Amino acid sequence: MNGLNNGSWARGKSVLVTGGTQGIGKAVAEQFLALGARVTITGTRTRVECYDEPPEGVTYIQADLTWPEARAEVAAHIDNLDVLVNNAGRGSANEYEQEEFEHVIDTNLNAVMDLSVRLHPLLKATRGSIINVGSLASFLALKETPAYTASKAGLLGLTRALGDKWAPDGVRVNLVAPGFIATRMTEGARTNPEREKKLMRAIPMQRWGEPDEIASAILFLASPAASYITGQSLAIDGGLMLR
Amino acid sequence: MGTFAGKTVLVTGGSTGIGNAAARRFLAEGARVIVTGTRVSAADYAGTDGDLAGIEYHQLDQGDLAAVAAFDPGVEQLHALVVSGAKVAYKRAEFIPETFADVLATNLTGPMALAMKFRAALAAAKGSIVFVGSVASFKGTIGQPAYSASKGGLLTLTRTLGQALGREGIRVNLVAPGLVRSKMTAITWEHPDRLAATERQVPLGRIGEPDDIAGPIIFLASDAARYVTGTSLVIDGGLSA
Repeated sequence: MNGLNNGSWARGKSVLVTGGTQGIGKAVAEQFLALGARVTITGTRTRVECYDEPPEGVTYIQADLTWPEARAEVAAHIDNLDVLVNNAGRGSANEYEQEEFEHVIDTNLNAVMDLSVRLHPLLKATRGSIINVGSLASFLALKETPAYTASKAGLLGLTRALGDKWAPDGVRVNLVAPGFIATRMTEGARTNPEREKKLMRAIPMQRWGEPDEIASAILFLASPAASYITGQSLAIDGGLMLR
Repeated sequence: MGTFAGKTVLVTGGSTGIGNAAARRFLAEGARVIVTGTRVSAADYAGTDGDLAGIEYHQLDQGDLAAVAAFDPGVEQLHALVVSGAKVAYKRAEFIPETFADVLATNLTGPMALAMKFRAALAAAKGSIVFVGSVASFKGTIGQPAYSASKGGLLTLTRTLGQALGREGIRVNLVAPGLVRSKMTAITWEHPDRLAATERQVPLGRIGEPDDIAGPIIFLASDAARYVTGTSLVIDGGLSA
């Protein structure tokens, strides 16, 4: 029995969470830590102390994964891996400018492909799994952020292709698609009562999601309870995409 | 302490197969578990893959609206309703309108009747519904027009009830298994050539076991999925990826 409450499956497992200093990534790191996993996170700042309340008890690697050199360096740091959570991502206010568009695609999509390929041998050795953090933008248009939308939709296709490709190795690849989550990225909307009211009308559950609610789904997909699930996506959005 | 300690769960079609695997897991998580099946008593499942020890059993034909209306398992608060009961007809029988209607009654109208019957008990517990759909919720199955239509209908029913019941605090989700080793699919997996041909198509290289579906059902019904509603989760070893 691989009970959900019984997290013994995660004890001693090696987990890498990109962008693990804040928001969803931080919640994922903390939930894995609580189950006794060994967790490595990446962030863009020099030291982990540069963040307000970073997760405690993790190994920190500074890396802006937009750059191939940084990805190579991260991969070189990892010698054993059971779970890769590709969470690092960005958006930009100027995604209709080509340079910005490409920059976002580099971070959100190209970096995920590169890091996954680099770490695939380690995951194959442990029959581990990859969880990509997509978005409702994997399925819907966010017209002000075409790069973010394209990158997250691309991530969905990448999840399917890698899921099929690496299934014979026992490596599962899945995606979570968070809706509107209370993180730094959505602070603007949350502090604007008009915008918030409009958004809440679109969500059947009528509230923001919490980072922990995405993290628990990621842990499920990484667990033996999901051992027959690969190449799939799971929306965690309070019903947002139903409307 | 299990994650479902002190909680009550109802699994229709919980006497064998996927439903029974889910019922066993809920039991292991500490829940009071009630299941329904088509046979008269639990003893009638001796010799099947079902294990009903520790589980409350009720006979119910979920395709019979009067039977659903009369069904009283004694629950005031229901934390999870799992609708796993279903039927399928082979040898082109589903092309006969009467059989088509009969399959739809069990696989689609019955699940809706159950959802409405337990709506208040689910709302009282801030509970959730998990419908067992199928990969046939998303695509045609050439010999089973009724099964496919019913499972496709369950998918949109999941989405609609996800919208409609969200404000009552009831979440509604669907699992979509691929080929799973159960009584219903024996026609495929008991035949070595058909089994081998199927397994070649599955990226993970094997057909599913009931327990492969039970884990995701428990997850969707649990607190870990408390912001998940109206969604479907495909569990097929990558077949449709």
